[in-house]
Amino acid sequence: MTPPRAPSWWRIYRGPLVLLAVVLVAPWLPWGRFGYLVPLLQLAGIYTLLATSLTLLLGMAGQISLGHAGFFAVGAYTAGVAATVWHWPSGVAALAAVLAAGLVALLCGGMVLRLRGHLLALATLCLGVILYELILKSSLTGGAAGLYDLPEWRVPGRLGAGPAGGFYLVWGAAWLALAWLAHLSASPAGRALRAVRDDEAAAAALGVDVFVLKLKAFVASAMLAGVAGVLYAFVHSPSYLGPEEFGLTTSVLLVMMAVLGGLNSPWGGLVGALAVMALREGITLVADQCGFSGAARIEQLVYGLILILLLTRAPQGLVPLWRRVCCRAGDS
Amino acid sequence: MTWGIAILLLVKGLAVGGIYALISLGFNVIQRTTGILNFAQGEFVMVGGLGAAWLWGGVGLPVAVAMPGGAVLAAGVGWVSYQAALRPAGGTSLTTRIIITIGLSIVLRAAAALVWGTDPRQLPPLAEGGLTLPGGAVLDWQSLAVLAAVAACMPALAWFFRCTATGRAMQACAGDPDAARLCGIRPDRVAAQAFTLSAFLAGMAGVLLTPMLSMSFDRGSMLGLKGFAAAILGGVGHPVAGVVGGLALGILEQFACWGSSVYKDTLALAAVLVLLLIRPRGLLVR
Repeated sequence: MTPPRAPSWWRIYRGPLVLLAVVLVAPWLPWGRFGYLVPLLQLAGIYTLLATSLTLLLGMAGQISLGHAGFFAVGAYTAGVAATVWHWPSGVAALAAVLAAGLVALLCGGMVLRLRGHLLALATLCLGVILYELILKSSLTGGAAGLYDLPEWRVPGRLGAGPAGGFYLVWGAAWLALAWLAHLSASPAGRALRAVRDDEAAAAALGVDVFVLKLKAFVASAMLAGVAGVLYAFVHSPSYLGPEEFGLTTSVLLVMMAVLGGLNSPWGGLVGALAVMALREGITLVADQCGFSGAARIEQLVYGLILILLLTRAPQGLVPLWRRVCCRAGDS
Repeated sequence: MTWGIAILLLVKGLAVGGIYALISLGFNVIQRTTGILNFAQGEFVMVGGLGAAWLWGGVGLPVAVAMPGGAVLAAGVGWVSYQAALRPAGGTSLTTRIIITIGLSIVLRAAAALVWGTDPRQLPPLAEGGLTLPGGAVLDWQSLAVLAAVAACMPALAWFFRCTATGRAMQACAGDPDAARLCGIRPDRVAAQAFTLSAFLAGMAGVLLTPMLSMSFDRGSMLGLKGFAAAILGGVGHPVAGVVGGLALGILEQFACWGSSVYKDTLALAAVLVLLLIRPRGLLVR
């Protein structure tokens, strides 16, 4: 029996290279009256990072987290509190934030990762809600009022003043995460993770330390979410950081994005996050054109219906659907 | 700490816990028959409560008709949900079907807000007044009605699962869907029945809850979460255990509220987490 041939360099990295080109060009396209979409794409980059962290955890390692918004919150609020309340330099604050997210994940993961399936879902859900409630009720974080006047990060130099100032930072981080995941996915560690996902007992029999590997994936995933939090606080909305963005709804939305994109591909998070953001914005845009602008409920209804439709038509996610369509076009 | 307050909190906790227990029974029915973790369960509760309130306040039916009407409405919504959203996804992975129920909850919430508006709605209680306890605390009849309903549901469900063809078919599907198919059971149809039954139980919980706390379109997700926690706390796949889990959660919440009302939900969830870690298979299941 011959071992499977390692995929060629080009097969692994062509995706990240294409994405890099798109990201570099995107802010300079002639957007015209759709210029408001650039900040929205920036937010989509943050969600891409978050959904990608779940693709790593749920797609590769097979461990669900319904509390990921909690780690997102730990990142954002550690950065925010360190910078505004304790007056740390923003770089140090950001580093502390990512480490804090990792540390919280290490402690929580050590406890909950022995659980499986629905029990793990409930445990992580509890963790997420507890983290959210602590932030909402604590006086340090400003509670429901939030934090104001955080340091703002931009690309240095003349670029920083334009639309690309924050865009490049967010998408640079998202790109690094995606490229790393594409690399990981093709590496021995990625295969070990997938073995744990498919059959823990078999993986353990082959010499994989199942618990440590799950814990590593959990911490790495939480740190990615922490990075997303820092970017949200310092790049996306430095004027105000409030707790609304970090509740259970967001955790559920992130899982939805990861699944909708496709759990079996490192690109699932990117595709899922972009699809959900585009769907929401598209519905609002169409509603505006038709003169329905006030009817947020109709928008929600259509949004939910389209999500159900997509999931029933493309149960493996959008990435495999796209591959199938491409293959069919290539065959004929 | 006075005993009067403690008893009152205990009984209040039991009443709220009874609601959670009903929701968790519904969770169990779907989870056992299809394996799906239904995120739209709380929305079924909301549809039941709002539906009954609408039948009473909007249509003008008497309370005695509106209350069962709400539960039946929820059951209908459950059946339609399965046929429209989950049946087309038949052969797909469990994760996908679970995520579909999240989409379903978004749709139901938006539809309820469109049809019934966003204002909370009320239902009158079954009976005014209550029972005066020895400590001087007053226990309202509504709480007792909830407990009675839960107490009635358990033997009814046990009978249903053990003695009716439909119930036994559901158990067969829970055990082994392929073997059930070989015996001439259609898992599709059984799953639709499970959704209907489960939504009926959830609708009943909503109908019973509305007179105590009123109901609005966005209350569903928190209720669903509590029912889910109750089902898992007791131990999945064991209906009685779910009831115990629900009652335990209700009492826990009331007493946590007594300690510090700011951290009520946090303390309850932290307790759930701790229980999960020390008894991962549930309180009753060994």
